[in-house]
This record gives sequence, structure tokens and C-alpha cells, in this order.
Amino acid sequence: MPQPSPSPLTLRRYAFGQWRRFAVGAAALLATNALGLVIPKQLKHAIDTLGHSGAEALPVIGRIALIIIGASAMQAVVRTFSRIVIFNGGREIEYGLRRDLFTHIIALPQEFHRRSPTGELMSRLTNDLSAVRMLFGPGILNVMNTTIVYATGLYFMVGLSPRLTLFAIIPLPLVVITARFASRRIYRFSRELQAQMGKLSNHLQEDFNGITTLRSYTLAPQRHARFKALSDGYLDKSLELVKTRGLLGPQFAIATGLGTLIVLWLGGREVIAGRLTVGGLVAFNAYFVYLAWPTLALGWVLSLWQRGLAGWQRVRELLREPATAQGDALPVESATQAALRVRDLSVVLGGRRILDKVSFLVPAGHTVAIVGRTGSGKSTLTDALLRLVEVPPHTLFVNDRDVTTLSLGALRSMIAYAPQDPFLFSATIADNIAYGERWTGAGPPPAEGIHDESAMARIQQAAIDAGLARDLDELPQGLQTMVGERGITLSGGQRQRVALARALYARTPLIILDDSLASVDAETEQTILRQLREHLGQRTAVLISHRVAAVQHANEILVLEQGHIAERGTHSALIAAKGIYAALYQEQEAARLEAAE
Amino acid sequence: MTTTRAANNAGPGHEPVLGKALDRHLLKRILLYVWPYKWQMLAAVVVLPLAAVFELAQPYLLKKAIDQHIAVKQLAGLDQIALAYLAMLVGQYALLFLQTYLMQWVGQKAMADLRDQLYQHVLRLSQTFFETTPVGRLMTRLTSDVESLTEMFASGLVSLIGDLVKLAFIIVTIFLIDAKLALFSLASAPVLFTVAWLFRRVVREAFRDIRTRLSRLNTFLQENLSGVRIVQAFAQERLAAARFDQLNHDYRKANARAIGADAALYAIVEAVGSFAIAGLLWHGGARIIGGTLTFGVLVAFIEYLQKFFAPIRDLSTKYTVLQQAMAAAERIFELLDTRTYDAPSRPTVPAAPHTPDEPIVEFRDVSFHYRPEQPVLTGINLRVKRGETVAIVGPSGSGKSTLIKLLARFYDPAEGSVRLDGVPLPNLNIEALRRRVVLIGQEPYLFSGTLQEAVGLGQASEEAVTQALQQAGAGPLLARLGLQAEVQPRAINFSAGERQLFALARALCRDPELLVLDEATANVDPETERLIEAGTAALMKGRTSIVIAHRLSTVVNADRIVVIEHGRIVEQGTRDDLLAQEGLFARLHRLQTTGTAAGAVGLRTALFT
Repeated sequence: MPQPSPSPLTLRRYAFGQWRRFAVGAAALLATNALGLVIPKQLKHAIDTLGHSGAEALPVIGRIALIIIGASAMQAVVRTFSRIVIFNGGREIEYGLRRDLFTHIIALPQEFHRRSPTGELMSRLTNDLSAVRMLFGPGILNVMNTTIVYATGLYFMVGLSPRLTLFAIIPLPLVVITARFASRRIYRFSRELQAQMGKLSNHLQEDFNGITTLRSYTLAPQRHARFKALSDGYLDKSLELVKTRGLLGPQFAIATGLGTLIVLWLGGREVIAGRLTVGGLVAFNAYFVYLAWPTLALGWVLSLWQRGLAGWQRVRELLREPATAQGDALPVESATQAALRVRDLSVVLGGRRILDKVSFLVPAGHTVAIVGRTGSGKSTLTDALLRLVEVPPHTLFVNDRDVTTLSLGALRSMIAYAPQDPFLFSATIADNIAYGERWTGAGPPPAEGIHDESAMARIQQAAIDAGLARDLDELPQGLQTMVGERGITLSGGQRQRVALARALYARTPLIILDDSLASVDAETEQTILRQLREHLGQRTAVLISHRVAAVQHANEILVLEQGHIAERGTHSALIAAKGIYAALYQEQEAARLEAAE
Repeated sequence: MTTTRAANNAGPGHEPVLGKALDRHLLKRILLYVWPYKWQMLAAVVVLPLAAVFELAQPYLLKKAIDQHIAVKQLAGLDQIALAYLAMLVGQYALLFLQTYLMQWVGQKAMADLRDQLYQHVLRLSQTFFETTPVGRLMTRLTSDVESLTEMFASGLVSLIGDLVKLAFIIVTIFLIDAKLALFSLASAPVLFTVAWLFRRVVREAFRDIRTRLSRLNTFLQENLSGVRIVQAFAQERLAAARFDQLNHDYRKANARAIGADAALYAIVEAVGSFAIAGLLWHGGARIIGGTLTFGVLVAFIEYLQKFFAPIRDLSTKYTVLQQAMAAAERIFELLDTRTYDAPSRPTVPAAPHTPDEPIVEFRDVSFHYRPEQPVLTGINLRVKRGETVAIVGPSGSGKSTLIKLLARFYDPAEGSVRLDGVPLPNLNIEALRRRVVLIGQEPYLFSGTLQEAVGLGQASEEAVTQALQQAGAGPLLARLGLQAEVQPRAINFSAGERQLFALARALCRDPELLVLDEATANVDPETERLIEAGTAALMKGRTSIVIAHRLSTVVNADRIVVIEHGRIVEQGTRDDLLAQEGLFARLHRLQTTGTAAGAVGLRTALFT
């Protein structure tokens, strides 16, 4: 188990970002406490006055009461201020961390995202960050407060009676020792508990996503049993934590109670012995009570601290995930044409060589098609072109520029991509199609749901090119129809065509279509293909397809086999070569003949 | 089983928010879950006043020590008082620990029960419900919302009860010691209650705002993380980050308001407490001079007042916990009150014996819609004989997928009836129905675990799974990986084709009487395609099958073809019949074949959708 020690450097970086706030907050806390010390002092004064004098003491007491009221009123103002400043400091840190974390995660390589369930990431961006925030808001406030209270309180107590002070604080070190022990356990249990919650979340996510399968196969009883086991595990760990925390709290309380007892018992003797006045004893007790609150809160602060650190550990793991190495954001964005050169490209994933010395050229404006079996590396090649998987330097060139010397943004903004799995955002169809619209990064991001006339015209065109015209007529609000979680559910074919429109809309010199027509019916397919050819006239295209209808007119067809290019050439050349491609062709020709018999 | 969407289509940004910190109706429902643990709960509650007595005896002992010993310099007996004080102290905290543990134990147990009930409830909800409710929202209900309720037991509810008990005891105690002084000390109480009331009003609004913002933030996160591939492929990380920043910023701003209210409350209560002490000093001082009050009483009163104000000062912390718990409870109960159930599980109604030549499946005048203004299926009449293979073709969006979902009773028709062996589906036990009918969707969902678990679903032996995998054409894959290979959620570590093969094997293990298949359109390579085709054939062999056909071979091999357009059956018959009819089928068919005449043979055989 890792020690509950923070990574001071990075965590401090976020705290230091708010140092002004915390400095002001600390000053305000100091003022709050200075004003707070007025009360015991005046109390002593009042009681001593009352003990020694008669009726003439009354005006003195009246003045004392007024001083207390004045000091308390001022204290209220400063206290409000200090809490606002410090708690908002915690929120600022949470805000900054969350911003940085999201910005970091969203740019992390696909390899990371493949192994990180969304639920898990969500939990770190919300629950764990909350824990970190609590550490910085209430956590820091209480630590500062405790320090100040102890320093000032002890000073005044020593002033009243050094002997009594010494005895009164005897129980405190004891507390510190047990607290250290308990806090380690709390830290360990917190982490275990969070991990168990992660498992529970993943189970739920699977059940809800796979509800149809769960029902078709009447899996509810066994899935429920598994859920119950996970839930019970969570319960057990929670109760362990409850026990530890429940024991920690009273320890602090008992320590302060013991202090009061010592004040009463020994302090009483001091008064009887004449070494302390009754007022002095009362004031001493008031100081001690004043120390008692922060001490009582220590148990709570400690568990905040442990939870915060456990949360931070998990957040830090994410922040330490290495980002994709990037080149500079150089000017290729303005390129209107793209020539592609792949030279000896090899990609190894999870110890397996997925692509093996693949080389090919696509002159600007040409179309290359890639065919091959599942596992032949087609998808990895797409990912490599987009640098969704890392490529070695000097293997992939766009307009003779090594892509590893480009920023990812510069490279990807040259490419439009229609993926196999058409993911859409819960926004309007228009928003989804215009998703690739470049944003300058200056000022606030463009509002959703709003497009100017020329953009609307282009969106419309892209939708038509993707064969969406008829679907749009049938949708309640046409292009303005909301899709996804907040709107209607589109069919697989419709989603795929919206994704295609999204790729067509982007005015990029290079377009990659990863079998984007698989779920589209024959009639629509014909229309789309016709328009697609017109469209591709100006753009360099990489087609990954299982349909010769789309593939055969390509300038070059590459047949991938076990990560290397087994055959290449035009449709007719490949047929003549009588290789894999020809075999596939023949086989389908036979199927066609059988169908047409 | 209703199919209204309106109930659940409040967007994620519009999560219902509750303002009340203590809703009697909600509390009552929560307490129902506590009921099974009532004795433990009772013990925890009984301990509360005991602990309060122990605690409140301490200032009294202090008074006694001052008045009878310290002020009069009488050492004898002070030791006993100190000892009594120690006993009270130890007693107080022992009881407090006991109380905390009992209460949390009850809370954790009760909420685990609630979570379990909620889980079982959700799994019973209708298909429509799942289609219209974001998974993230359901997960929040079962995780963080239940957590918030548990937290209420830990630090909200009971400490609130404990505080109330303590406040009452303090009032009684100080009145017993000195009624006049007590009255004077509590003069500030009305001010406090006014402040607390004002605070509640401000904070209620603030919390409402916070929850809405947080909900938006979470929705955005969920979506952009699931779609991160698209975000990156379109190089929109910066835009996503900027949009996120706005939401994040709004959330922080919403919090600032609550922080202000909280800070003010804390400070004001603290100040009012000091005012009370000042008043006490002034009034009590006069009486000490007059000889009607002792120092001990004054000191004890100061202690009691501090104990009186502390819980009020921490009200905002508890209020937050309670408020969050109540909001969570409301959302949880709203989900529990959702009654759009999946087909209920009840015993099969006995029916007249069925003759073998009657259709196994019959659609009788079936109409269906998700929304009344948009009919999906209209007047469907379809009879499928035992052993027959029926291919369903038609343009996308024509209602094919809905038709087969009616058959596995994921929905009930709005009009007409669907019958299995002549028995209307609602008369069949739902589990029994789904054991007889297996539905394979276009994108089969595989649960995580080992390959054995993912395919056998914990219901089939290793031999059966091995055999099924081999029959489905996943033999070589199995030989390479073994049954213990890890299948990640959604089987994302396998290709679309491999997932298809696993799904076929899974169905083979099940050995259903009726197979309902929505052929996958996912792109797979020719070899896998061949494997899937063979696997599908193996699965269909000797089984009544209804297939939404995307492959020409399926259409060719079907006994009958049913063509659906705009939710109606427009043509049906054998392939030759339909070609002769020169209708939609013939047109689709021609498209396909003229395409091939021009040399355009798809690598995946041919496509009807």
C-alpha cells in the first residue's frame, strides 16, 4: 500500500496558484482569532473584578460586555470574509484541476482511452476532485486555524499558568500518535472503497448498456447475484471505514475532555493554593475550550485529508499519463491539397506487429482503397494516418512533411474522417454535421445550435451528399432535430450517414472513409456513391471498404494481409494478377451469378 | 407497459431538483427501509439522550467544583468531583461511538437494501425507458445518489436528532438551575432562528443552481469521453476543452453563492453566541454583586451556551448533507415510481392444444408506435410455420427492427396481437417466452468476463461452449485464445466480426426454438463473412427463423420473403413470385444486379436493407 504522502510538488503547484487567496485568508483567520481571544481575556477581567469589588464593579462589567459585543461583531465580518476567501480558494483549485484534467484526458492517446472505462474517468473527474477540493477548502482552513489557535491560545494559557498549561496539554501528543495510526487505516480503506465502487459502477454500466441482451438471455438472476456480491463487498468495506472513523472522532473529544478535567482538578488546587484567581481559572478554561474546537475537528480534518490524498493519487495517475508527443503547429492548415506518403510504416500494439513495413504513395487528388481481412491491419492503418496510434518518425508524410514533426491538431485538421462506429453527440443534426468547423480559439466557443446562412447551406449540402435528404424530411425538425440522449434515436443507417455528412462537410484536403456505408440500403447507397465520386474529385481519399463498387475505381487498391501489403494495383491489374483480390472477386462473382440465376 | 416517452425525456440538464431539506413524505419512505433494522435504530436513538445527560452533567460538575470547593477554598471532595467528571466524559464518548456505529450500520444496511431494490427495479423497466434514459443518469441514481442518502445517516439525520435532544436538555437544565438567567440567556434565540430561516431560503436557491450545473457538467463529460475518438479525429480537443471550461466555470460560480451564505451563517451564529455571553456576563454580574448568583452558575451557563450554539453554527454543513440527501431521495424514488415496466413475469395462461400445422408465430392486425403521431407498424398480418425461414427486407426505417422486437416482447403492440403457438404473448411467462425465442441484434452486446462466461453466460458447460464456438466458426479463434481469454466490456478487444461469431455461439448454446436475427451490417472481411454466414446457417438449421436479411444468400435461402415499407407489409412470397410482381423487391433486386452487371460485386456479398 502506498504511504499516504502527497506528491508535494504537483499538489503544491495548484495550492501555490492560489497563494494570494490563501495568504489573505490566513491573515483574515489571524484577525478572527485575535478578536476571538478578547472574550476569555475580558471574562477573566470581569470575574476577577466581581470577586474583589462590590457595586462599583457594575459599570466595569457593562464596559466589558460592550467590548465583547464589539469584538464579536467585528469578528463576524472578518470570519465571513476568511471563510469565503478560503473556501472559494478550494473551489478555484478544483476548477483548475478539473479543467487541466479534462484538457489532458481529452487529448490522451486512444491506447489510454481503450483501457479506461468512461465511468472510471467520470468518477475521477467528479468524486475524486471533490475530495481534493475538500482538502483545500475546509482542510486548509482548519489546518491554518488550528495552527493559529494553538499558537495564540497556548501563549495566553502559559501567561496565566505555565504549570497548568503543561498538564492540560499532556493528552494531546497521545492523540497525534493514534491519529497517525488511524489515518493510515482510513487512507487504505478509502482507496479500497473507491476501487470497489469502481467495480460496482462498471457492472451497472454493462447491465444498462446490454439490457436487451440481458433480457433476451434472461440473465437478470445471475447478474443480480453478481451485483449483490459487489454491493455486499462495498458494504463490508464501508463498515470497516465507519468503525475506524468512529473510533478516531471520540479520541480527539476525549483528549480535550481530559484537558478540561485537568484544568478543573489541578486548576482548582492552584486557586485553592492561591496561585491562580477564580477569574484566571475561568479564563484558562475558556482558552482551553477555545483550543478544544479545532482539536475536535482534527479527526474530521484528518479523514478529509486522507480522502483528499486518496483522491489526488487517483487524479495524479491520470495527469501523469503521457500525452502523445507532438511536433509544431505549422502551417499545413492552409494546405488545399494533400499528398500522402507512407514509407516502411510498422506499428506494434500490445506486443503484436499489426503493420509491417507498409509503404505506399497517394498523389494529391488520388483515391487509394484498402481491402483486407479482419485483423489484417486496415483499421490500425486508418488510426495511424490520423495518428490515433503512434507512428515512428520518418514513416508517414503529408505533403512531404513528416507527420511526427506536426502538431496533432495541424495534421488532423487536414483530414476528414467517417468512422466505422458512427458516434454522434447529443446536439442537433446540424451541429453534428458541422462538428469539424474550425474554431479560432479566441473568445468564447461558438454557441451550439446556431449556424449562419452560409454554414447552413453547406450543412444542407453535406446532408444531401450523404443521402440524408429523405430522412430529414421525415424528422420532426429537420436539421434542427436533436439526436442522442436529449433527442430522438436515429437508426444505425441514419447515424452512419450523419457521420458521413460530418466528414463531407469538413473542407479538408484529405478524407478517410472507413466503410461508412455498411448500414445503408441499396437504393440510398447508389445515390451516395454517385455523389461521393463527384465529391472526391478534389480531395485525396483513402477508402476502406468491402464493396468493390466503391473500391474498383480507385487509382490504386492495396490488399492488406497480416499487416503487410500483399497486393497492389488497379482493379484490372489485380484481376489479371490472379491473387487474393482476384480470388475474392471470383468468389463474389459466383455469389452474384447465383443470386441473379 | 406503456410507451410514452414524455415521462423520461427531461434532458440531463433539467434534472429535477428539490429545495426542501426535510420532506416528511420522503423521510417516511426512507424510514421504511430502516424498518427491518428498527431495534438497532431504536438502540441508537435511546443512546442519544443518555449521551446528552453525560455531556450536560459536565458543566454542572464544573459549577459544583467552583461553588463548593474552588471559590470557597475547600479542597476535600474536589477529587471526587474530578473522578465523576472523568466518568461522565468516558461514558459520553463510549455511548457516542456506540451510537455512531449503530446508526451508520443501520444506514449502510438500509441503503444497501435500497440499492438492491433499485437495481432489481431498473432491470424490470421497459425497453423504451432504457432507450430514453441516459445510462449515466441511471448509474448516478444507483451510486452517488444512494451514497448521499447513506451520508445522511452518517452525519445528517441522527446528529440532527442528537442536536435537538441536546438543545432540549440544555434548555431544561439551565431553567432548572436558574430560570431567570436562563430566560435572559435565550433572549437571542429568536434572532438565531430568523437567521437560520433566511439562510435556508438563500441556500435552497443556490443548491438548486449547483445541482443543475453539476448535472450539465457530468453530461458533457460522459459524452465527450465516450466520443473521444471523434473529438480527436476532428482535432476538436480545444473546442471541447473550451466548452467544458464554460460549464466548469458556471459550476464554480454557482458554488460561490452557497459558500457566501454558509460563511455568513457560521459567522453570525458565532457572533450571536458571543453576544449572549456578553449579556450573560452583564446581567449575571449584577446578580453576583447582589449576591443572588454564584460564580459557578455563571461559568456553567457560559459552558451551556457554548454547547447550545455549536450545533446551530454547524447547521449549514448538516443542511447541505440533508438537502443533498433529500434531492437524491427524490430522484431515487422518482425512479422507483417509474412504472413503465418490461413485460411482467407471470405464469403462462393455459391455452387450447395447438395443432402442428398451425403457425408457430402469428402477427394479427398488429400496429405499433413509439409516439402516437408517428405510426411505426400498421396492420401487420404475418404467419410463420414451424421450421420455416422468413426473410424480412425493406428500406431502413421501415419498421423491420421494431417488428422483431415485438416478437421477443420488448414492446407490446398498440393494436392487434402477436401469438406464439396460437397463444397471445401476454399470456406467456416472459422468461419462458425468451427461452424459446432468442433475438440477435445487429450489434450484439457481449458481457465481460472470460470467453466461457461471455458465450456460456454461466449456463452452459465448457464442452457446450467449445462446441458452440466451433459450430459458429470461431474454432480457430478458440484454439488460439482458449476459453479463459479475457473479454472486455462490449468485447472491445475483439473485432466486429469476432463479436458476431461469439454472439452466434452464444445463441447456439441457448438452443432456442425460434431464432430472430437482425443480420449484422457491420463491415467484416470476406473470410469472417463466410464464417458468419456458415455460423448463421448452422444456427438456423432445423429452427424456425425470422431474419432481417442484409445478405443476398439469406434472401436466396429463405422459404419466404416479406417486404416491408413504411411500416406495412407490401409484398410477400418466394423470390420468384416477388420478382414476377415487379414491385419494391424487384426494384431493389435490380439495383443490386445491375450494379453487379457493371462489375460492382461487393466484397461482402450483396446488400438488402
